[in-house]
Amino acid sequence: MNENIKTEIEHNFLESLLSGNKANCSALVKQYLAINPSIMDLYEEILKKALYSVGVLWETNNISVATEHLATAITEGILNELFEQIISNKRCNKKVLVTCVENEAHQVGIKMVADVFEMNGWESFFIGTGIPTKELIRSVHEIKPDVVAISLSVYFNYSRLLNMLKKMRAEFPELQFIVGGQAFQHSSQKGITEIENVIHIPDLYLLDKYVKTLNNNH
Amino acid sequence: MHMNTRNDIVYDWQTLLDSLLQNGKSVAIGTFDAGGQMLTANTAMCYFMDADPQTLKSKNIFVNPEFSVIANNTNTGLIFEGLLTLGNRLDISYALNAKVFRQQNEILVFAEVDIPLLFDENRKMSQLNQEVNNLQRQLIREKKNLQNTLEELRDTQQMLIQSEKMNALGKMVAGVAHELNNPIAFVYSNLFSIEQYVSEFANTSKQINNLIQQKADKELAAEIDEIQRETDWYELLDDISDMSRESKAGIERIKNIVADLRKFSRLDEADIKQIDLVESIKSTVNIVRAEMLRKQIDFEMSVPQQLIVDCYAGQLNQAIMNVLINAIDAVDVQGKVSLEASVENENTCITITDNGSGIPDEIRNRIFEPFFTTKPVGSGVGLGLSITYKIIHDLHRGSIQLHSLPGQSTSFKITIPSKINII
Repeated sequence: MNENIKTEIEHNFLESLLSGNKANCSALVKQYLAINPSIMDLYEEILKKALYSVGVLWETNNISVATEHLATAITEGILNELFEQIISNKRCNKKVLVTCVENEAHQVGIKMVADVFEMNGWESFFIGTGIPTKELIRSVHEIKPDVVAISLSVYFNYSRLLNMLKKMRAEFPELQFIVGGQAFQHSSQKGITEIENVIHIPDLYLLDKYVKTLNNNH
Repeated sequence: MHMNTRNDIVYDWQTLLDSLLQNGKSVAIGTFDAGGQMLTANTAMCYFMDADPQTLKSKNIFVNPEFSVIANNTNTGLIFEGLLTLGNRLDISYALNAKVFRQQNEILVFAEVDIPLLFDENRKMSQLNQEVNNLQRQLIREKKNLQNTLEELRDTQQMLIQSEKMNALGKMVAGVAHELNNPIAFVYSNLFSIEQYVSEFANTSKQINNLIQQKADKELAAEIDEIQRETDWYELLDDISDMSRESKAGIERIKNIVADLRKFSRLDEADIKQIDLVESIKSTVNIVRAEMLRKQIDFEMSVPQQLIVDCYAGQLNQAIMNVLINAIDAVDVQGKVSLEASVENENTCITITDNGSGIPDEIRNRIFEPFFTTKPVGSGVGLGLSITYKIIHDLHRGSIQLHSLPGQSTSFKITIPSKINII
């Protein structure tokens, strides 16, 4: 894809997002997919970048929480517009449970993660945000997923994630965990990767590779 | 050097506060005359009343309570306290926490935006929006599931129609075969008698001729000889004997074909039962033999004397025939097709191999899908292998393995358990 066009779409998308123009955002996504039909690229290059910029704008006190919520809501709407074409018809009988760290309400990133699993034939279970660890443990017993994916958006909640993983590891010694999210962007994964069977996956491309490896191994 | 005095600071703070009140957007202050005409207004009041800051002409009005209701109270001091809605009665509506004071004919409106409330509302809205999004996602998933189920049902319906057709055809074939049995039997029996009679007739004729040669006068013998020569008497007798022998061979073949058709359709054996698979395979091969002869196919069959298996005989024959027909279709004229059957541990295996063009990698995982066909339009509906798969996999708990070398050969190996615990 021509870099200029990409930069233009990227710029216009962020602008439309901040001004609450959902129709325009939708049109830009269509424009992008007409040139490059890769949903993964769309997620990484447009949606993720835009939302990370929104996060930075909020952190630097340039936009309000309301605007951030609006941007998130529009992006989620777009994910839903794409969801139907994302669900793969070839199912592989594997399940992933996706959630956010306890007390966090940022669910867009983890939905993108769920979508990558769906594209690869997995069934994804999103159990909502702000789920206490106790509740999460109950859900894992019930759903019996092959992988649990946890997103961390705010670095402030890092120790919460660590505690959550330790509790979960004690309850499910064999279960595979993957973690990721904006909080890992500029910080180390201290303590997390020392827990057995916990992998930090920094982007959707690597996630896709990881899921494909799981699909081929079993 | 200038030192800030206490008064200077107070003055500065006063200026700041005045400026905040004048320009802030969260506290609206304005004065009105008793008729509702705006006399003074800060920036916030101008915003909420949609008023021009210069002329103070406003587009919005007091929606609830109306200005006249408030102004009706002619007391001095606080005359209204509570939520005041300003707007245009159409699409604009602002709810503000307000206090309204009166001093003679001048009315002062002091109203503030409830920021904590707005934050709270925003948070609730965000949560609700998340829930709506999650529900929408679930709905999309359900819709997709329903679509898939609908497609599967459509395919199953078509397969049912097709297998119903095959069933009807099988019934018809079995019916015709049964009806043919009686006439074949009496034609066969008559031919047998005719052959016998002709032989007796020929013997008698020889004896009569011998007697004529010995005892009749020469003139009579010559006349009889003349008649026999004119009518080709002895040639006729030879011909009749040949014809009845050939007819017997023909009717023998018809008998075998009818028996094969009956064995193939096995209508009387809809349930699982023990059969000799070799006998079944031979009947199936006989049915498609005409097509093999037409294409001059080099067919090799390697089967043991007997293979006893538990199966749904009619259906299993159908499955084997489908694979065999595909093999015949896949090869060129004078191509090679082979069929092997054997026992492997607890299983019975039938392998059908052809030296056709093979199955390309990219379609290999689609060949068992209903309606998938590579044959030209009109010559196949693409159900053969999917029906075969259902018969082998679902009905017999067996498996079909495909081994194909593109450009060289294709081989299908059907494996079914030899014994099924029939409950």
